Amino acid sequence: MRYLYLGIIVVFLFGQESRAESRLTGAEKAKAEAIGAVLRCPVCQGMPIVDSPAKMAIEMMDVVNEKVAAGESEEEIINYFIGRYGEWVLLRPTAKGFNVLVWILPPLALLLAFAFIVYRARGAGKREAVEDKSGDGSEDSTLDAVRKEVEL
Amino acid sequence: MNWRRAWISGFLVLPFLVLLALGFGTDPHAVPFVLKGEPAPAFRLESLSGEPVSLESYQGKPVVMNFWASWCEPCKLEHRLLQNAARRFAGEVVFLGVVYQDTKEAAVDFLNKYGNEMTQLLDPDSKTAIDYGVSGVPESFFINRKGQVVYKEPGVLTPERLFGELEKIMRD
Repeated sequence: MRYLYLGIIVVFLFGQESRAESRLTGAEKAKAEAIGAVLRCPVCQGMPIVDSPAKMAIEMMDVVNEKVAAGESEEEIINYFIGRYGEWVLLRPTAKGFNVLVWILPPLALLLAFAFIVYRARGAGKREAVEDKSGDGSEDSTLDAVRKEVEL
Repeated sequence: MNWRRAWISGFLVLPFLVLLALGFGTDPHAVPFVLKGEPAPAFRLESLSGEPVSLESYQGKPVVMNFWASWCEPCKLEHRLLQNAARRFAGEVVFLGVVYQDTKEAAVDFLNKYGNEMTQLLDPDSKTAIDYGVSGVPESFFINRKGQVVYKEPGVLTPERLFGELEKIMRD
């Protein structure tokens, strides 16, 4: 009996198709899901509305389905949500204004780190070469002494 | 000390420190208030007493819209404050409560228990909440006489904030 209740709850939460969704064709459903995948659920932790079981996300997905059914374009629907929640609602920020830093900084940091490693490695190589050249030969004479002793 | 090396290190590290400081200064979960200065989204909802209510019917009057739920503990904290303000500014400011993700029965029980001086509306599919960019409750919107959203409180209202914003929307 317990499992029956659990089953009913699971079907209720995840198995229900909204009225707007049931009106959509296969292509429209795919379009709505693609839009839902880029919109952030406002009551979850970084989850798209298409995957979230939260009531708010399901209701936002209903709005997406209704707008898709009404023939609105992907851009129009996403802009509607940006007009309500700002660019915060996008899981993938647009590469504009301050957001550009999000796209530029990681490769720039990698490049700088690579340049730093190369610079240090070359510096170390040069220092070794200078030390080899500026050696006073004392190490060589010690080695010669040891060799002689071993050979004896 | 190698000054050249210190300058280069500082030059490279400083932008990251500035970005970190900016990041720590903002709440990544805070939803931006994009409706500021924009016309308040229109709605037509049913009140708890079953009458249709639209924002249009309050044209020319300042409006306070409070999204709340009976299951929301912080909503209880500001409930009495809002009721007092609704009583004090009756006829001057319209106070609307919008029941968010709750049942009509639970909302009625809550209001019977704690009292009500406001027009309470049902938003069963959260369309109005989404239209206003609501991300949780309590959340309140202050709309001036011109029908523009001038302020959003994304949490519990304090008396200072409530009366300060009321003054603004009554003056505009």
